[in-house]
Amino acid sequence: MAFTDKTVFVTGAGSGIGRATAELFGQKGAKVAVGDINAANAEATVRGIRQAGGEAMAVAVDVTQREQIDQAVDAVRQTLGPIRILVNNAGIAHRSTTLMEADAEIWQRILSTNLKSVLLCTQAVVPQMIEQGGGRIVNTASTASKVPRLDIGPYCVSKAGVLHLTRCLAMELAQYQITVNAIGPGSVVTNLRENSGVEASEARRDAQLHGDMEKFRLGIPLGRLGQPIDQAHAIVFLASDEAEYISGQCLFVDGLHGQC
Amino acid sequence: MTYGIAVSLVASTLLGPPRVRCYDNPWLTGENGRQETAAPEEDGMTFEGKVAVVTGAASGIGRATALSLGRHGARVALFDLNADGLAETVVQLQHAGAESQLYGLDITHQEQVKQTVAQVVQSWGPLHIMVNAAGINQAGPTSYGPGLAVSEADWDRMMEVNLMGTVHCALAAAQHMRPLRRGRIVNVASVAGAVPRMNMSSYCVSKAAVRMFTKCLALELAAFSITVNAVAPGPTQTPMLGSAVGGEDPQAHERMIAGYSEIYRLGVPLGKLGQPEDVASAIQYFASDEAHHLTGVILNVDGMAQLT
Repeated sequence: MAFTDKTVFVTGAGSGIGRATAELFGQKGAKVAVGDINAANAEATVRGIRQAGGEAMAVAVDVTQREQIDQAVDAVRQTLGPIRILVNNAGIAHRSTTLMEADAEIWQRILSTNLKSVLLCTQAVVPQMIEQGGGRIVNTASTASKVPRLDIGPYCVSKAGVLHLTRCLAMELAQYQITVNAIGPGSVVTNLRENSGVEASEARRDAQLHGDMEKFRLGIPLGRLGQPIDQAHAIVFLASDEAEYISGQCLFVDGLHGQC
Repeated sequence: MTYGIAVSLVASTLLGPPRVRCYDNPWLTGENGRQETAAPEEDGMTFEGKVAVVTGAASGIGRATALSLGRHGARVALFDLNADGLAETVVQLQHAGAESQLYGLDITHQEQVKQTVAQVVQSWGPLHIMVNAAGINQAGPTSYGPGLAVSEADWDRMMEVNLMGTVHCALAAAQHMRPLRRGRIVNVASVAGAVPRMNMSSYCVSKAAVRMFTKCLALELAAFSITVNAVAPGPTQTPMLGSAVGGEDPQAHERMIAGYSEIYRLGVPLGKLGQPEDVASAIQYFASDEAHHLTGVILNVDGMAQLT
């Protein structure tokens, strides 16, 4: 199969986009390391992959802690082999806030979990890719990387950081035949807000789909909220051998949500 | 096989008997192309039962795309002005066990486009995929040179082929796709449509127009679940490359990869030229069922040649 003998490490794979991605890689023959801060969720993802006939291991890891990342990456290498594909998908949202009111705690938490984690995981994994003569890194950015939103300023900034970090890493790692790209989900049906301890509501989903002047102006022209599997297919494409000439790019899988 | 006979009949009806082909030209025979790493049936993406039109299918990106879609089970209608090239593409598709039909036409003529697309639908049923890969980078002697010196005729011709050709084909396809509320349109733009280049203003503008047309059409067709996206190739090893970079010699290629002030200022970070198959893979992804939530997207396949 397309990913036979390739080891993939997906962070934030205990749910949502990360889980769908880990499952899809498993179906395509990859050996999947399922990373998540929530060990029970990671185990559940692994069970699903194995039930479908794939190979997987669960890795409990807080991607803001470099020592935990190093240990996780070593464990993956020993069990599944050197990592060829890294999906930096772990991320959190935060409560609605204006930028004028956002406190230091929100900034520290959001920038650390959403942005710095991408750098730390990449630093930890790249030596294994260089050893193998190449690799693939795919980061989860967002339409919020380029479209301002009124109530999640710090989140927008963290994702804009992910987008540009993607490009800077792509420049630097090109010489090793490692491509670095991102996906830009729009509004996707996941537990992002619940998992971040933030209120999620039908009214918000409605505004995302149909548009409102304040935040989600264009709504979603393709007429439906995104599903995790859409993002998973995009990640798998960018991670494929066939995508070797694509680097520094962000694939916006958002039903035209972000074109406003 | 009966479709082979049908192809020969169509070919001889539309274009006269096939002429001698250039088997020793590696660009036409695909010897410089990358080998596929996974057999189509192993990578899970299927186009069985799909009808696709690919313009510019006589060479380069169009041919690579037609081959890729055909290998994955699509029936491919091949549009181009170049009869020899089309015939060679048919041969390659036959070797791959794929069904195809060639149509010689000029995509700058809107009526010809409408009629030919209607012919495809009449032969094979509803259209699923339209790939606009036909394009030029030299309309005439003033196309490559200072913008101040571009002749009106050369400017018009560049826009006619690169923009209007894409518009005519996309709209003709959309007419057939709309009642069925599904479809995939994929255009070939260029990094030159986003980053200014010296001495190529009419080409750059035509490709910038294709980019915006892609997004506008995406917005208009979203309500019909028809996605419209574009790939933006960087320096790609096709017959058009020589006229884009001022030479077909290895030195010209090396200079471009390393970077020089006229075109690829910062060079190509991935250190090599692109292959038509690289672009074809991205087109194929956009054309797949799995890509139903992407529209209005421009994806660079350029080794990071466009930095911003």
